[in-house]
Amino acid sequence: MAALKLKEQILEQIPTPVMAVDKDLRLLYMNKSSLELLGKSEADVIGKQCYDVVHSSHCGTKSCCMLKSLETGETCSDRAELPTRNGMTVVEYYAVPLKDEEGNVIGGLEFAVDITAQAQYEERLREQNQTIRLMSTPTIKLWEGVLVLPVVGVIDSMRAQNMMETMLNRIVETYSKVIILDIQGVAAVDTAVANHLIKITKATKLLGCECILSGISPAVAQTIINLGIDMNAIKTKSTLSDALLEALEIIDLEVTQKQR
Amino acid sequence: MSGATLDLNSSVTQIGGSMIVTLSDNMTDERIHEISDVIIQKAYESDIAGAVLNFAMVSMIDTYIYKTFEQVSRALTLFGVKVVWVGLSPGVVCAMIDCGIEPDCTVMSTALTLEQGLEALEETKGR
Repeated sequence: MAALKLKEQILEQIPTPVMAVDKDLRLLYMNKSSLELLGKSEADVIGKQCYDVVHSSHCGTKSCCMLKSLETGETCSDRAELPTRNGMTVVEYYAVPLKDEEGNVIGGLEFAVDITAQAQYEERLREQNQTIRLMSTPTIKLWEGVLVLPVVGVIDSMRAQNMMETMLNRIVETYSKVIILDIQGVAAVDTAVANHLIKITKATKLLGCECILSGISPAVAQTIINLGIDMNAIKTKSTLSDALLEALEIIDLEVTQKQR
Repeated sequence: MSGATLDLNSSVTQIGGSMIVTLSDNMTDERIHEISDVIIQKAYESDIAGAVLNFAMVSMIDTYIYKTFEQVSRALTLFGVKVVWVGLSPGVVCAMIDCGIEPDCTVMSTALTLEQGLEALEETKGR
């Protein structure tokens, strides 16, 4: 009897919200932690439908893990938003089926872990990722029909894909005839990066837009030659000003000294 | 003459020495084949200097579509007709490149819009 009492106490004092329901989702038990979290007393909740008491974002929907676990007889977990006394929290909750001696499902046990801080952190990370992505592709309209995309840092396939999408969209928006891709700030150009650049060039060509690669440093030129990468498909220039002259040439403009 | 061919005729028009082909969306392999035959036949019959293939309505270009129209462009180049592809959208181009299509821009030139495509043709005529 004392052992049973102790077991009850353990469940009661565990700081995680725990509750149990029968097969029809009527509440059989709620521990102290969950009652405190919801700001209710035991008499308020026992025997009521769990969705009438809890109101999480999954309650009364098909996403409810408890329903799934009652149906399948297996443990199920998911993330949901839960309104509590302290405001909206994000919880990861686990639904475990309760079985009798013969193994028939007679109800379910549910416990939840508060992951609000983690969720906020993830959200912030996503926002920062978005910002970095926007910052990594600053397409500048340099002249009517001429775009410049300075690239700084490392080009991986994800970024190359992003660059391509941004460039193509900007070309269509601005009706550009030439785009200059300045890779002055790219530390290393290997086969993969060169491949990405060649792909981008081909893509822009399909929109009737010439792509000029500028800012090729001596070190980069040497790596390209040593790796034996065929860059014949791309127009390359050493500096941005050379590329700009070439671009103006393409759109039939020329720069002349002012006569005094 | 089948109904499909009639349709095709309406999408191949001729304006002052240039042929304009408007390609529709969701073309079946059969239709692509038919349309390419019509383009080559018409280019042969009529005295044109340039052809514009307008992809503005096309929402997807796979390897087959690309290969067919590249071959059509090649064939037209043999007649001395300059071919310009216009109206490709960014999404279509991205998907094409992801498909591993390597466009051969020596057989055709490209332009963003139909207008720019016709301008490009005018330029070559002038030269």
